[in-house]
Amino acid sequence: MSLLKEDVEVLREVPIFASVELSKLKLLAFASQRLSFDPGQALCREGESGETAFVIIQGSADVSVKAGQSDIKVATVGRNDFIGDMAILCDMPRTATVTASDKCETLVIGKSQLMGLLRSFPDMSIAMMRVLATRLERTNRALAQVQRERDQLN
Amino acid sequence: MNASLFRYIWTKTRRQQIWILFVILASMPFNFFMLDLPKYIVNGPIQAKGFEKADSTQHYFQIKVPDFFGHSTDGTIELLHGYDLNRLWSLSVLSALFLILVIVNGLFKFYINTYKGRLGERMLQQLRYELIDRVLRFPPSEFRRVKPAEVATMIKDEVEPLGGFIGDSYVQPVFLGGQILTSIVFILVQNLSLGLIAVSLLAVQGVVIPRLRRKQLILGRQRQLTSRALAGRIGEIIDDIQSIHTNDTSNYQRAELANRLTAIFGIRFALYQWKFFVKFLNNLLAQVTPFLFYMVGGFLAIMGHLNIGQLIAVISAYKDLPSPVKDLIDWDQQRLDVEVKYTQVMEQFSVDDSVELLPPPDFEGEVPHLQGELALQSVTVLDSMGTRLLDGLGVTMAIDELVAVEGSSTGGGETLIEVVARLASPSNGRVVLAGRDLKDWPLAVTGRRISYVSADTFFPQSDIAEALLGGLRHTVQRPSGIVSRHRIIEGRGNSLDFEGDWTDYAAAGATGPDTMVDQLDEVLNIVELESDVVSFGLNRQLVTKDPHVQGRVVQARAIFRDRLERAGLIQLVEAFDPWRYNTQASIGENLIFGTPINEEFSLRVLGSNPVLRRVLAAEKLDAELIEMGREIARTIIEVFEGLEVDNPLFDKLSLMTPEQFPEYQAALKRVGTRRFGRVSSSDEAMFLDLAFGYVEARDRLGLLDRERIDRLLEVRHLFHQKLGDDQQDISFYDPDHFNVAATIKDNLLMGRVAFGVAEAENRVSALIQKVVDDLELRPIVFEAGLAFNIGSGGKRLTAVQRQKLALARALLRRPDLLVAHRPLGQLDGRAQAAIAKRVLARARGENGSGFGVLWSLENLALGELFPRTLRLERGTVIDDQRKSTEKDAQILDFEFARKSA
Repeated sequence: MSLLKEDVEVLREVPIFASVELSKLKLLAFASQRLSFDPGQALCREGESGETAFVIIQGSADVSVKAGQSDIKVATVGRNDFIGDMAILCDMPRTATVTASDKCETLVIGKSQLMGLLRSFPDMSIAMMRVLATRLERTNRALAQVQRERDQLN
Repeated sequence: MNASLFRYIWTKTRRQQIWILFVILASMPFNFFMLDLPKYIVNGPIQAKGFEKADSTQHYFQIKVPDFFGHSTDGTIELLHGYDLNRLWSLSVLSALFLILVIVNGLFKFYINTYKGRLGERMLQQLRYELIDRVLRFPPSEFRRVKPAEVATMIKDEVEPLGGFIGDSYVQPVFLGGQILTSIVFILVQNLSLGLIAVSLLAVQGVVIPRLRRKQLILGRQRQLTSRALAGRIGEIIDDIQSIHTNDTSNYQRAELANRLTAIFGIRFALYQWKFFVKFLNNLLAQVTPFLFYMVGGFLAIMGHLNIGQLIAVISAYKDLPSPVKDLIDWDQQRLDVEVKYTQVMEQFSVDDSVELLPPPDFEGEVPHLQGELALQSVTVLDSMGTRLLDGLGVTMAIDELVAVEGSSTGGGETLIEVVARLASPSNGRVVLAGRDLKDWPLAVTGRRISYVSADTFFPQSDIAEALLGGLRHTVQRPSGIVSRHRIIEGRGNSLDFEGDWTDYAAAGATGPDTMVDQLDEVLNIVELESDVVSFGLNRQLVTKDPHVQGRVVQARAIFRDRLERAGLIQLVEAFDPWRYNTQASIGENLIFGTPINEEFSLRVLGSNPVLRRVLAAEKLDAELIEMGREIARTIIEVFEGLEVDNPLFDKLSLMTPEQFPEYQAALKRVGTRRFGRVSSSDEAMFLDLAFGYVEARDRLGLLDRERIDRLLEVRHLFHQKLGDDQQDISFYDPDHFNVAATIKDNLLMGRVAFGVAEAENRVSALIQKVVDDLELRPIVFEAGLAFNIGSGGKRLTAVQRQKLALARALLRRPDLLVAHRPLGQLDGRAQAAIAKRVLARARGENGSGFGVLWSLENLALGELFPRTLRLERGTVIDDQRKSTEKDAQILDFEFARKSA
């Protein structure tokens, strides 16, 4: 099986792309690039402007944010996770630093490629909106949870 | 230069013209004899006149001269008695004589034409030289009204016909006039009435035709002016091409040019119509004469007034007459034409009487250094509109002082610098330099002792070293000793020895070309251009062919590899190994496995390379690769079908450009399901090219398996065997040898940077730089970088690099005074300050001899670095501040940092 076909399979497993037609995914796989990172190498850095999003194919990476002088690790991402989408959708600087924690194989999707695809294929936009909404819903719930806990502490 | 073309020609070529006239006169008797001889042949041996009896003879070749002393009986002296010849002998001898005369006349013509041609070309060369010399002597202000392309077309095209004419100017009328006269005299001698007919028709031709041609001249002049303007306009468009594109005004330019072309067509067409009409008339007149000859001459012959020999001689003499007449009329036409051209060119190359031409820069002996003061005494400079750029400005500085000039853009700083650089001249006031009026200094002194840099930079097409050395070429330093062709130009002095070495190494503090590199390195370091030059050098081939240096690069290759390994980065570069397939390189690269030298082996056209095709066929791999190309084309077209050409998704596609899609779609359709061998060769080449461009690591289509790779390697080796080891088409990759055709960087890498590894390029580049530094290869790379071609006008450099280069050139010359107007305007503040600091350190004499600086600032903060600052407003000094020279440099640094922050 060619690597390209493998890339298509990987993309299919990513929730955002799960409902996208196979032919569109092929196109996206063609237009994206495989990039491997050594442990400790940064995929992206907080505060920098971002032009790319990553799908992690293999390995894992730590997500951390700056808090004063030190970095706080907030999450770990792994296979099939889609990261860096916020920066390219909203034209804002990276909100977190992502560092490969072991050897990390990724698929890099350029901003203009992703936007081009979204514009050409509205189905994909809807799928993506769904995923983002789910994420927002999860965040809201988490926030409510935190507020409740804070109120209890007070 | 002379206002009249004929006088110019006469003064320059008097002796040659007289000589050629003499030769022409000498040729005329032979011409006459040649015309005369047929009559004797026809009347004598042929018609048997004087040979009535079988054994009768005629007496030939008796030469008698008149006897002025009266000793002889018949009043003549016999020089040659001559010979008695019978009829056949007469025929043979006279015919042979005719043949000899034909040859002699031909040789005369040959000599005359060659001589005239050479004379004309030499004068053309001289005239062009003088025009260029004049351009070089125009004061800078003149160039505001001159369009470069117009000047170029004048010197190149418009004076061209002058060259053809100069050789003919005096000679042609005499030559042709002589021919005409000979023919007419001959005809008149033969028969008066026929002669008179010829003369009268000639007179009509000679009067009417030139009159008709006046209109042609006017049109010709218009054609010259419109064509020149067209050349100027095209030059402007090229210069302005960026703003034409950025403002999208190219259609307007098209319309304007089309309009001009239409106008030129109109003029040229009118010219043709008129020209051919005149030609028609001329031919008609010329043809009427023979008509009359046949009619009248024939009539006279029938009546017995004219013998047939005479008639044939007259007609054959007349046969030679129309062409000299036509040529003479053409000459007259050409004369008027070139006179007009000459006058028009001279008008363009003359300047107002009020404008002084620059004196020649010749200088005898050692050029003195400037010492003492530079003083501007109430200097006023007006522009062409009368605006005061400088208004009674007065300032004095020591020549070795460091002075900053600040002020708004209309303050006058730029003009002040231009005045000192002698690019603007004061309309009032005086500039005194080292005790002498600036305008009285020979250009050789100010041009070598003062360096000038401005915000605008221009470099002729050359490389970095040439651009830097350009400021050191004043006179020939070491003559070549070769007497070359340029010597036939009468230049000022005899210093036009272009083959000699012009670079004044001593002025830059070097002893010769070898030590010059150090000086270049030093000035490029001052302006922070050295590392750029090293980067250029990495991407260039080695300058030297020295095997020792090549060996060092090969050594460095091993060390680079070793370091890569130790840093755990070995997977970043896949090395070239003749016995292994390189997965980071394309199939084509893997097959030729070397740097193409011959264009036929370049990767773009590899699919049609016959040698490779033969090897592929022998290995039966061509069908497979073509099929692979088809599969790639099918896949890509299927996936990308229906997308607009400008869709960003195409950006990442490297195998095919969107523009190639239709070509490949058509090719796929043409090929259809046809089997290999039934497809046209060009279609095969197209699909082969696609397959050759395939890189497994980048394109990830999974088209290469173990077996196929082995066969590709087989093809590589067969291909190399076919070409032979030592050959001129490809420089093969060999891990143990230097690759002459590859760049220094590729020689160090001897492999491909891997696709798909984050930051691979940057990490490899950093390591290469480090290896270059550690192994002291930097000078070698630097030298290669000096040969970097900077492009027309230096356009291959960035604006920042150009400004740095211009400043470096000014420093290399080690001037007594550096005058600069915003020389670093393109740079950021930090770089400006760093460079200015280093320039001032050099000026203070910390490294080499010191010099003065007068610097019109691009950034106010830089003023802190100078001990003295002039503030200019409205063309006059409003503030002259001297800072304590005691001030510590560190405090200056601190203040500077504060101000620029």
